[in-house]
Amino acid sequence: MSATLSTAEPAAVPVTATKTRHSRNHRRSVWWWLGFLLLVVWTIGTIFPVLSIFLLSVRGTQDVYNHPLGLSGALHWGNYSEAWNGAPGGTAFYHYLINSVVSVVAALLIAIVLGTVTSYALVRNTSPGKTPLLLRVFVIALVFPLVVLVIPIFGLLDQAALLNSPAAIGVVYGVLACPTVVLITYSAFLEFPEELIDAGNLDGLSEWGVFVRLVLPLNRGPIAACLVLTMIFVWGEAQLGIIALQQAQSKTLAVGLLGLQGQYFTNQGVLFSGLALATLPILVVYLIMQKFIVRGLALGGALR
Amino acid sequence: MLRTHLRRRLMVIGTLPAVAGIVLLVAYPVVRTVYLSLTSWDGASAPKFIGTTNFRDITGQGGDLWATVLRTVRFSLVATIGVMVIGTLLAAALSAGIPGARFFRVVWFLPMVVPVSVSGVYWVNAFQPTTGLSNYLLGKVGLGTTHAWLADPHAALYVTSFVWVWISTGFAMIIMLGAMNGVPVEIYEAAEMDGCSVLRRFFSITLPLVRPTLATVALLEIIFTFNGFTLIWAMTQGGPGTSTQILPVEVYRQAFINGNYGAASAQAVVGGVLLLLVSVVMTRFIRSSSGSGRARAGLIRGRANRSALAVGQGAK
Repeated sequence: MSATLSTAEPAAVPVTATKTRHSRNHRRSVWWWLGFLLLVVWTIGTIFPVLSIFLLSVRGTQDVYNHPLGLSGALHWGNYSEAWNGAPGGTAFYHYLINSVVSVVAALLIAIVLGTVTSYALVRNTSPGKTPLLLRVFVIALVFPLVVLVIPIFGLLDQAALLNSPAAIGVVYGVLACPTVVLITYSAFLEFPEELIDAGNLDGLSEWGVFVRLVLPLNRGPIAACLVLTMIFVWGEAQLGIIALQQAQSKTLAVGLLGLQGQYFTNQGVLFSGLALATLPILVVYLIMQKFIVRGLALGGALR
Repeated sequence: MLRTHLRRRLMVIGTLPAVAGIVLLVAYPVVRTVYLSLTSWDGASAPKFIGTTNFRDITGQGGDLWATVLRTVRFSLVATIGVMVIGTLLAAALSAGIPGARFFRVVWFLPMVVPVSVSGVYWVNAFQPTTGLSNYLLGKVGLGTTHAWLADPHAALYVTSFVWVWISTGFAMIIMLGAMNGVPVEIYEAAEMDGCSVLRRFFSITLPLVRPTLATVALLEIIFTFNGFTLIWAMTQGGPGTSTQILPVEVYRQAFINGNYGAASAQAVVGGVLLLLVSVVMTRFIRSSSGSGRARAGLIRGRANRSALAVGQGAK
C-alpha cells in the first residue's frame, strides 16, 4: 500500500493543476517500481475479466471449463447466433437488446430534456450566490434509495397498465436521473457568461431561444457527461426492471441476463456470448465518450 | 427591464415537468411506502391498516430484520472500505502523472461500465470450484482447485463484497481524481521545498484537502451498497441460506415473491431511516470539515462534492 503511495507522490510535484502533473524527479526508486507493479496488477485485474468475457464467448463448453482464461480452444462463432436467436424454449436475445435500447432512449430523452430545461430556468431565476431551494430538494431526492421507492412505483406502473413496457421503465429511470443532470448542468450553466445571453437577447432571441441556440451547444461537454452516465446507469439497472418487466419478451438485457444462467446452463459459451452482446454496445459508447466523463466530471464538473 | 424580469419569472414553468416527475416518482412513493408499512397488503385487495404490527413482527421473534440489517452493514462496510482505499490510491497515482495515466484511467473505470448483471454472472463463473478462474489460478500455484466460496455461507458475503469493490472502485477513483487535481500546485511546491517526504505530502496535504470529497464518496458508496440488489441477485440471490440476503434482496423477496407488501415496506422504511441517519451524520462531517478557512481549496471542494453527489445517482 505504501508502495503505491510512493508511486503517487514523487510526481505530485506538478507542473499545472489542470493537466497531468509530470514528474520532475526522474530518479525512480525501487519503491516507485514496486508501486507501479501493483498498479499494473490492478490494471490486469480490471481489464482481464472484461476481455475474457469476449474470449470465452467464442469457446465451447469444455474449453470454458478447462481454460477459464479463454486463451485456448477452438472458435465457436455459432455461439453468437445461438444467443441472438435464443435457445429452444428460451427468449431470443434481440428482444432484450431492442428493449434495452428503447428504455435507454426514453430515459435519455426525459433526463436530458427535463434536466437541462430545469437547471437553465433555475440559473436564470436565482440571484447570484444563492442556492435555489429546488436544487436542495433535488439533492434530498438523490438520497432516497430505490428500495424505498420500488413498491409504490410498481403500484403506479400497474395502475397505469404499464408493466412490461421497457419504455415506461425508461421514463421512470429518466425522471430518477433528472436530479443528477440538474446538478451537473446547473454548475455548468452558472458559469455561462451573461454577456453572451444578453447579446443573444439583443439579437432578438427569446430566453428559450438563447437556451437552445447558445447555451446548449456551448455546454456540450457537461451534457455529454450526463448522457454517458445516464446511459451506463439505465443500461445496467435491473432492480425496477426485474419487478416490472415480467413477460420474457419485455425484458431488458440487464433483467434478461439475471435469468440467463439457468437457461443456457448446458452451453457455457453461449452464456458468455450473451454477456458479450450485453456489454459491447455500452462499452463502445464508453470508449468513444470516455473523455467527457473524466473532463466533464473529474475536471469540468468538479471544478468549473 | 420589467419585461425581462417577467419573462424570466415565466421560466419557472420550465421547472414544472421535472418537479412533477420527482413528486410522482420520489415524494409520493416515499410517503406511500411509509403508509404501506402500517398496513397488511397482498398487492391485490385494499391495504388494511394494522398500525405498527409489521414493525413488531419483523423485529420480534421469528423476524430477521436485525440479522438482515447487520448483514447489510457488514457488506456495506467491507465494500466501502475496499473501494475507498483502492480508489484513493489509484486517484493519487493518476494525479501524480504516472506514465500511461490516460490509459490507466480509461481501464480502471471499465468495470463500472460493464452492466452489473454481466459482472455478477461472470464472477459467479469465475468463483466456481474446479472450473472457475479463481480456482484455476489457485491450482496453478498449488493451493487447490475445489474452493466453493459462493456455496460457503461464511465466505459468500465477502466474495460479493470483493466483486462490488471490483465494480465500483473506478467510480470513486474518478471523483477523487477531480478533487486531487483541484489541490493548488503551490502547496505541494512549498511542501517539497520544506523537505516534506512523499508519504508526508500525501497524508498531510492531499488527504486533508480532499477529505470532504472522500467523505462524500464514502457516503455515496454506503448508499449504493445498501441498495446493491442487482449484484447480489445476479450472484447468489441472497444465498446460500440467507448469508448474502441484504436489505433490498429481503424486501424484494417479501414483496414480490411472498406477496407480503406491508412487511416488505416496513423493512424498506427501516433501511431508509438508517440510511438517512448515516447521511445526516456524514453531511454534518462534510460541512464542518469544509468550513476550515482554506478558502481556495474549500471552494474546490464544495464543487467537487456537488458533482460527486450528482454522479452518485448513476449507480442508484
